[in-house]
Amino acid sequence: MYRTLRVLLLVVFVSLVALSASAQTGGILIGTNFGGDPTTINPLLTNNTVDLSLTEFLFPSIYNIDPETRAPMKGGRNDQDNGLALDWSLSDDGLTYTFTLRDDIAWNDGTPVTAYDYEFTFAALASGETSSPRGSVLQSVESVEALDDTTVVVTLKLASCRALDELDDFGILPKHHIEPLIAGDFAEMDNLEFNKHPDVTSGVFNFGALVADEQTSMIRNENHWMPVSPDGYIIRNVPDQLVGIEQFLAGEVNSVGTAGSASVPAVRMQEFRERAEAGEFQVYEYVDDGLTFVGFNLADRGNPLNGLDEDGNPVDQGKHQFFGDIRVRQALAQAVSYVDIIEGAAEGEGVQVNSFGTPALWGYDSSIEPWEYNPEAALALLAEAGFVDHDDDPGTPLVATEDALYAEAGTEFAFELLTNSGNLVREAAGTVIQDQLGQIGIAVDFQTIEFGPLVTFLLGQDFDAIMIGFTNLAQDTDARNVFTPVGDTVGGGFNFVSYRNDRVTELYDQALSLPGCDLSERQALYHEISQILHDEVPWWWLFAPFSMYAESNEVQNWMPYAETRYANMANIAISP
Amino acid sequence: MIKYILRRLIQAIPTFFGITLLSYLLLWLAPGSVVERLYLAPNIKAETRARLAAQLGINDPFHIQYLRWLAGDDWLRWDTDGDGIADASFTPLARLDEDGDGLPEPPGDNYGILRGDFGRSFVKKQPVMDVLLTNLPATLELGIAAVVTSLAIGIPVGVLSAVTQGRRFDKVSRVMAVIFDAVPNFWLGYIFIFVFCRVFDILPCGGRCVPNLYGLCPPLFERLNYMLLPTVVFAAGFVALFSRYVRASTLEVLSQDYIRTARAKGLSPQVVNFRHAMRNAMIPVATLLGPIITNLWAGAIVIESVFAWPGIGRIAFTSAIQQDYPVVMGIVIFASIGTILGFLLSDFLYVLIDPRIRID
Repeated sequence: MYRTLRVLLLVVFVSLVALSASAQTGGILIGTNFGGDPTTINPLLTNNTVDLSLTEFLFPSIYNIDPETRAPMKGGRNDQDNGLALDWSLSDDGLTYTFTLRDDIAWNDGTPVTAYDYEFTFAALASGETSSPRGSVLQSVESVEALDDTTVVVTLKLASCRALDELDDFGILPKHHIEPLIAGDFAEMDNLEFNKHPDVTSGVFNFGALVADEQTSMIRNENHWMPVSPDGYIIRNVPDQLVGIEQFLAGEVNSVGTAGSASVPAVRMQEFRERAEAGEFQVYEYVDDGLTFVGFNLADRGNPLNGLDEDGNPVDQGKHQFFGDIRVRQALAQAVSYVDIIEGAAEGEGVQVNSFGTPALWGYDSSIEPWEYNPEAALALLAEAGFVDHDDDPGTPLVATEDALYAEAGTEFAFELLTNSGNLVREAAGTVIQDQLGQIGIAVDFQTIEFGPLVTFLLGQDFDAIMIGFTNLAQDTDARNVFTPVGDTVGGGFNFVSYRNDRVTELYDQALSLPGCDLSERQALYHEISQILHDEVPWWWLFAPFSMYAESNEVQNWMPYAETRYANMANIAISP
Repeated sequence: MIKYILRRLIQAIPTFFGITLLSYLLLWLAPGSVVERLYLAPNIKAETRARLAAQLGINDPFHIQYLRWLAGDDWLRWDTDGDGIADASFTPLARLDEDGDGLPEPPGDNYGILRGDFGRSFVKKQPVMDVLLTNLPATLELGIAAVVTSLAIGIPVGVLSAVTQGRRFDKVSRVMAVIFDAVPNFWLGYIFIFVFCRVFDILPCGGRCVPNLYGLCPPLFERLNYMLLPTVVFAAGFVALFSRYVRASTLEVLSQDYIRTARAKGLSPQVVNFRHAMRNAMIPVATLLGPIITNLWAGAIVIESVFAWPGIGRIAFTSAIQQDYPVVMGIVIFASIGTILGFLLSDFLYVLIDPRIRID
């Protein structure tokens, strides 16, 4: 009996020793940030990836996000997630969400995180007195009411399938701490010292220190609801990406970029891939959730007008002399080699897109055939649209004939293509476009200008064509602000190309208000939209870039996903 | 001397205002705004951006923005109709009672630059003075180190080049001076980082302190390794400049009668070259110090960005990109004052170096 017991004890002891030897913990994770200091660490006010790199580890959110599907997730995965919702339900009329929250999460001062914290945070947003950029949430949410510590009821203004996504658009603030500081005046929220040094938090880490233009640090939260492995996370502020990469290769930091950004540039990806295969470090690649495109101004550039008048009626905005004709846009979509653009400009580190979105998004329809390079078909379409080579000299621009819908006869096909200077990929892509369109008789005045003026031209709808990119697209590909007249407002709207198709508007409405919000049914609606956008080419769909995380071999238990660098921060260990 | 300084300072006042007016005008003329820089996304409504712009007052007419920055908005009501945008014709000292409590509301809490209030950063949401003073020590640290290094190397090299004119040292130093003068700082920085950090792994790639969880930075002597590369790169151009000026000046001095006299008296070459010749050859160096101090601000933008050095240059670069006017204007003021003081310092040094020079 004793002998058996001794053997058993020995087995348990050996197992424990073995476990403790294999489960490495601790160490400080050091990342590099190329985006400047955080502007705020208040989760209601944040607006860039640097800020979010911090707040995601410091503040709770209403629910967890599944890192694989990036969809809202009930309960949790039992690691570092700070989502409060154990469960939620939607009323039959689609207007009321009722959330049941966890009761075992506390702020680092010991006060429980409750439904009242979420209610307070929403009240701050709804006041309109803060500089929070998340006002769009108020378009769909009427009110947020905490019934008790663990129950919160969200009432919507109208049934919206995007509402659930939007409810997690901001982290949760500690009411008991902030309320006395602002003394009932939400306008004071912007001026809190808390925004730079959040002392009451509830995440994997506590806030450490912000040293201007040098580093930001977070320190392990010893009182977190689950054990946290890393001693801390330091984000070094390195303005020059090239230097940041050298720091990584020299072993000074553990990662290129931060939690919120991948940051291995396209030009170095192949090198990183090969070195990772050789075992020098770890990389993780994915298709980015952003895309690069050329927006065609479809309306009269000389007289930019809103898409709708004050009563909501459509406005005649005139037509762009070239791009107002769908055949011209379709011709251009076939006049350029996407292989050349991706290989020549993006170092081959991207994938052609066929419509709005990227393969990383669930609403994207990968079955749509993207436009292919076919200059003969392009010329035929241009001829049909009334633009011909009048002198049999491919070196001179095509000219409009009487058949052209919006251009005066004799007008040379020449337009201005703008992009922002300093973006080498876009500068190279613009050169490819200029060269290949030149070969079929379209003169492109390609200009790279500073970002500020570019935005002024873009939002002022004062351009022919602009090449830019969208990044961090929402998983839900609802883009009514981009492709319906609602967003067609001169000076601020994102339908800067003045695109309008009543069927697209109708489909967006349906996808937003679909009873039950079934994902596959909504997906079908978005796919139909994608097909129309592909066919009508309001944007010239170019490519979605690849992204790459790079992490040193010192980082153990690393579990990355697309757009989620550290899905299991609490379990990460950094070997000495 | 005091009279001279006062006169120079009084003369500097209109120059100073001219600089601020021109700088503010240039910033105002730049297309785009800080709101578009920070909040341009499809999910952020145009109304939200308009509200944020109104909060910052960046849509107000130029003269109102400039006056507010200059004189504050605690005594002026700009927005008499309460639409969030300042009226073109404002009413000074007209304190309105919007809430009807019988008391005038102060329109704003900005006291203006004339009363020492640099305003608040649009982006960092902190007082500009706090933002600048936080980073000023790092810039001073690097700037002083660069100037001292360049003087310590440039002057002896210049003198030695002159006294060894035409020989190997002179030729090599002149070639090196041309190279370091011509090579851009940022390129030299990249090369040094690659060689000394990546290849030999003997110096850090950048930063000012060892990363640590508590944001602590040890005393200077414990982190000299972090200073070495940026100081050398920063000083390289100045060394070239100083050595060339000192060489030319020393050659001129060496041909003077009093040097021949000194040699004829039997003084050693070291005494002749370094005591008699060098002192007089220093006058061009004093002349250079004013522009060098101005160049320090400009150079800091490049050096601090390449070496991740947390100084004013970094703030200047990011604030200009983000169109954070209050911070940029704060830096303009710092740089203007630095330049004015730099030229005053040059004048002082004239007197110190050459007792024949009198300032009156």
